[in-house]
Amino acid sequence: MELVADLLKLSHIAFGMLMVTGLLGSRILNLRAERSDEIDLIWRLTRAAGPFDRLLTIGGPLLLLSGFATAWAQGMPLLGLGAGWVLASIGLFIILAVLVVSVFRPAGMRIEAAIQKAHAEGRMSDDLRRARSRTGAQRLAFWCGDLVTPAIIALMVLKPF
Amino acid sequence: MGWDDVAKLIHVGIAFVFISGLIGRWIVLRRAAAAEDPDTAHELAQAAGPFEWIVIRGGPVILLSGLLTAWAQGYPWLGLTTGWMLASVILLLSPLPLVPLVFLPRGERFAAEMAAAREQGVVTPGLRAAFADPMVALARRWEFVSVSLVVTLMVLKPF
Repeated sequence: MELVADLLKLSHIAFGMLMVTGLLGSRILNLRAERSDEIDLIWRLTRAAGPFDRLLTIGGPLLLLSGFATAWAQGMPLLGLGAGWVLASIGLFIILAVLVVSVFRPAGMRIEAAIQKAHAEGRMSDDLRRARSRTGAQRLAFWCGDLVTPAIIALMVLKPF
Repeated sequence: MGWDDVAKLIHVGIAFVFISGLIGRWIVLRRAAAAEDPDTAHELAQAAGPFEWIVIRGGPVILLSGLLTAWAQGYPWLGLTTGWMLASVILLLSPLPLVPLVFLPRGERFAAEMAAAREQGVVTPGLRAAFADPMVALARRWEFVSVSLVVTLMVLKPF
């Protein structure tokens, strides 16, 4: 059982690494695209960010499931939910999911629609510039989103409570 | 929570970023290799730059932070007398000779092929060959395999 628990922990860490790859890759390429006013370059970079976004979509549920499976295999009661640091991690994960559904995805869809239109027209558009500009609340949400993953990793390593 | 925990957290954080760099570089360069025109290939190869930056700097930093963590945790000889730690250090150092033997010379050839392709305005057979260079592919695969083995050793601590 100890080996099963270790292998599940290994898979959990691997999914965590895939998630971080997705987050980091998507941020790097989309930031590069945001700094450009050249529609062809924006198009290429945002298409290249696609696989990273898919890593996030696939990695999220797998990360959660493997985490619960690891807690179960390690003999933690209530799939680990009795431990403060696990509960806090799940809480942060839920915050991230809410941010994805309520802020990141709608913003991404608006930008994607504007990119598609600008690419079809072959030039940068005001629509795309508007879609890319963020309100103060959106900026805060993106900051929170960026901080959630390091915070979860810190909880997993330090297990502070 | 002591200094050893902080050191371990830094080490783990660097490992996550390092592996993201390795996978990210692979994803972006694969797209660059599949590009139909040299400008797209060039722009995507440029976009792989930040991932490359992470990989180049991440290797030594991950090693140093690992040795620091071992010291903070009280392992003798910075952990090098513990089997899995010694194996990890050897695995982490193993891609080092690939830099002068493979990455630097093949990188120069790749840059020359890219410049020639951009000048001609087509993805030349030379550029395709440079993207598909089997030695570079093998070296990158070894980088990834060695790091994956290190992560496995860190989690399982088998010996």
